[in-house]
Amino acid sequence: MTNLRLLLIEDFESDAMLVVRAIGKAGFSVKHERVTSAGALRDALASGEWDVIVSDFSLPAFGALPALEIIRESGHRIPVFVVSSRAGEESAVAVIKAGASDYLRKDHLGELGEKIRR
Amino acid sequence: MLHALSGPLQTIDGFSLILQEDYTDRALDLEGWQHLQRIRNDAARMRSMLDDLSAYLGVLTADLQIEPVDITQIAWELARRFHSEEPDRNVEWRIAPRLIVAADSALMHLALDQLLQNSWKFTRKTPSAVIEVTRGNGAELLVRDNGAGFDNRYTDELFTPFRRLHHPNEFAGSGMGLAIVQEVMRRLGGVATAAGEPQKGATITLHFPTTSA
Repeated sequence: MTNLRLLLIEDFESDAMLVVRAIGKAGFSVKHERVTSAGALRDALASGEWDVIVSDFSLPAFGALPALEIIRESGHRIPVFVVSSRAGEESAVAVIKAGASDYLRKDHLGELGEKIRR
Repeated sequence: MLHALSGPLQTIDGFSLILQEDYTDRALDLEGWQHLQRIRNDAARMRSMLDDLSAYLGVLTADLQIEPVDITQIAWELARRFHSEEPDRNVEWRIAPRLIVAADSALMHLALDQLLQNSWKFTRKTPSAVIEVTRGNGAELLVRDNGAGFDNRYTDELFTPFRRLHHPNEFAGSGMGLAIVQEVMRRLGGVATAAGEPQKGATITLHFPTTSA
């Protein structure tokens, strides 16, 4: 089992559990922390070391695009995967342009572990 | 807009799959029971989203009957209802007398219900909560509270269907309230605007066409 330090940007705790489980199924031993705001994301980036970040596309008063900007400004080069309940061509293009590694629908979380492995 | 409904559906599907995978040969334990509870919570969340969506679609197709509508009376009726449902809450209402606008009575009921429910909800953590319904400049109606407020950067998103600015464990709601209000105002030939400040409060202004207020 590979250890994986996962930072989650997700407002629904149950969805966060599904992400952790999906990654765990791909053979990772996941330790995770969940944040829901810009301030909490900055704190987590400053205080912890992360192998991968998974962000929901849209959160209350926050989202993957501002999150990607904060991550870039922090100087960390951590792969970011964006998950969303919608299949949005435009959103996918926007987050990848902003530096995300990939964009997945939440009903395709099964692929997330494999994508992180690559 | 409909994609928002797939949020709870995917959670329901995800936890149903966990139950199928983890409990093929054993009875449900506490963790399994908690998964079931998550499924039920998201079913309830989806039901409330569908109810609000149905109200929103109702506004789009409503037959309008423009007549003088007594906003003061509707606001007091709603205030009394909120207090009877939660008698422990202490809120000061400042509702101006004789607020009459030319509008559709059913739609104004719906819009004020959404607006005052918001104010009632977002002042829940405010020590001396005040909710005001007053006349603005000309053909404007103001609903103001000193509750949780919001950052003015997000003003546009406030009126977007299913978009929420607060976390579900902070303030509940499907995110349809102000989308419904905006649609009511659009049907009446006007517009709703919002201004706010975090922890200070929010003001929603209903701008009626100048001939109707």
